[in-house]
Amino acid sequence: MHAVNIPDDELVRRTIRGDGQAFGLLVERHMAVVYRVVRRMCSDRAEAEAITQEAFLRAWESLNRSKDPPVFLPWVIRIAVNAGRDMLKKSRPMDFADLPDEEVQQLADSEMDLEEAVDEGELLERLAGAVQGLPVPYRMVIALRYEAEMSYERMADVLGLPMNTVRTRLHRAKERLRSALEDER
Amino acid sequence: MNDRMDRWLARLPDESPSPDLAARIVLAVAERRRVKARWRRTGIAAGALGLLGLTLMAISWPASGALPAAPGSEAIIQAVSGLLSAPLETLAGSAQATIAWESSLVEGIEIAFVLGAVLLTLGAVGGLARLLRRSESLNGYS
Repeated sequence: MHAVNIPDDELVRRTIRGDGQAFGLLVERHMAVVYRVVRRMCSDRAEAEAITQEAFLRAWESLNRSKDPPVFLPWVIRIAVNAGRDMLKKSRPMDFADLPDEEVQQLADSEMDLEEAVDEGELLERLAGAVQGLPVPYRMVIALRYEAEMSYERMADVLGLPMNTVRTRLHRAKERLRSALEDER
Repeated sequence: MNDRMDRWLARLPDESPSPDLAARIVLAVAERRRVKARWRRTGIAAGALGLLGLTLMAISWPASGALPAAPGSEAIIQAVSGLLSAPLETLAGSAQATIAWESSLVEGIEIAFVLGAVLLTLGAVGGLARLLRRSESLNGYS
């Protein structure tokens, strides 16, 4: 079987058996998405690369002790999120302090039509900037939802939070983004 | 707005990682594998040294009559009461007894026993270092 066609779980099993090349293939296959998730969490490129590298190293160490092969991508993303949270909490503790109460809140639709206001490229650039301005917990849910394309259930599992909290966090993040875009108009 | 926000968020401009990031990760994993193998060898060597040391000590044990016998409960009670009633005299007596025991140890002990003790100590230090290293590498892992 060509290396590209080998499924993740087979590569994970080979890694557990000590095959270094199998882990290299997992790195090549998933490094970009892990990096994108981490990059949404932290504003510095070098820091994001360091966290990505640390996540894969921790994953490899963990696989060496593992008996039950995990589903690789969500598992390595969870490791990356934890590694990122550890690093960011040390360097910028205040980024985690800006969360309101977690009661469920419906997001009201806005009458404003931003698409009409600006061209899409510019809008996406502004939105990316607004995402970087969110508190880290909000950036995490944005990253998991839109970069890793995870379901609410998977996000809850990765973040170790109840699903309703994840849903609320995502709603609030989007609400803040909408406000930020409106303020810029 | 919600749907549109979802669409926009799914299409945010991405920044690619450095082209050599995957290679750096693979290199770092290889380096960690080398370090782990080195520590595994250290552990095996420490175990072998400890075992050899224990064997040497066990073989030469009968000849080493100079080793102190484990004190009985009465002796301990006596020592404690002596220490409480006349601490200086008791301490001086203990020091003299220790010096006398060391002298008899030098005369009565076999070289194999000393070598065994040294090897056991080396093995224990190596094993301890490996354990510390292992607990350090386990910290913080998910």
